[in-house]
Amino acid sequence: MKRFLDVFFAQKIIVFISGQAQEINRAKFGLHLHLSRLAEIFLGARDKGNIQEMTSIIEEYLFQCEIRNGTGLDQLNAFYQIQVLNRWQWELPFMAGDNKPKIDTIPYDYNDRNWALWIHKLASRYSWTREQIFNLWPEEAACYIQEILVSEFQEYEEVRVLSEVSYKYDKSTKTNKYIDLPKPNWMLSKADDLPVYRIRRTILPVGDIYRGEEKITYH
Amino acid sequence: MTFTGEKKRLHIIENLVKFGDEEIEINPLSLENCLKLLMLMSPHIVQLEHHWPEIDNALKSTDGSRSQVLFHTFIILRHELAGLPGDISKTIALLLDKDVEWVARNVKAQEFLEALPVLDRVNDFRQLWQLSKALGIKVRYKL
Repeated sequence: MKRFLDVFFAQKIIVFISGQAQEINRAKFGLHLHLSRLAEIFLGARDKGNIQEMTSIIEEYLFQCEIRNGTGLDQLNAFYQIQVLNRWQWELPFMAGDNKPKIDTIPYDYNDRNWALWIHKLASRYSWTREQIFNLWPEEAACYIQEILVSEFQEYEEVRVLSEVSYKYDKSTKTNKYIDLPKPNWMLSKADDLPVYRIRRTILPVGDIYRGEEKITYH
Repeated sequence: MTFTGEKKRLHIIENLVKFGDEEIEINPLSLENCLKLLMLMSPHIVQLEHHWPEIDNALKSTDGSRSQVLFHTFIILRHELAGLPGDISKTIALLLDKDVEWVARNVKAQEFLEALPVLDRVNDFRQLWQLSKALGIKVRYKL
């Protein structure tokens, strides 16, 4: 998935339970969060080797996807296929993070706070209810979150321009110079804003370098 | 008896296996037994990956009506499993959905070999072994 409009194409798979074909649709945002949490608990149980917990998690996972009964193999297969179907399919720029050093502990932080933040931003911006937000596609919600972050930055910049705090007095030219609001890394244009480092030719690598399937030859 | 009832009776007869004086019905593995089997067999399933071409060739030589993956698994891993009688007993117990003590008392090697095709017909072990890798189910040893 590489485009916003692709988000709206409903995806589905067919799983076979006791010989019967059953259609499973991709989960919307609310169910996606619940299923991803179950998958996370499954990984923890798997690492501990706790069979009972793994079994109950798989049964709960399939119950949420409206799959009942089936043989053990059918259930395991369905569990895997539905996990693959509901994987996050598009990483937007803001998800890459900032690469700046983070504060060690935030006193008001808690687990899964980022998801609560998403719901808070969507609800505040669009006045949606939690049910409406949970009815979005996961990538659709991510696109709206990115737009909200960009809009918040631009609105803050507009207000900041009007404040004298954003201007620095330059004694040499005796003028006020505007200090740009620092952008997070994911908002920077790679061509213009990232620093360029020159490397001496004598220390560049020589010979064939393989980057995946691409071959580059340095002489 | 109705047609459906007759079909069900034949299905049960096909899946019946005799161990000593007792006849048991081979049913598809439950979810819990699948996971236990994968945990138990995980160190050995990894070695099967090197032998998949061998298994494929062996399966091509059959008439295609039975998968025989389990049969070939035991054939290929016979040397590795020979030194692990406990693992073998537990594996058989999970496959037959019985206790390990029952297996030790009642199951003879020849009878188990005769039960392998039935087990192969009822369960798709190739898919099961592949799910082991897909789900990352493996034994983790505590040091």
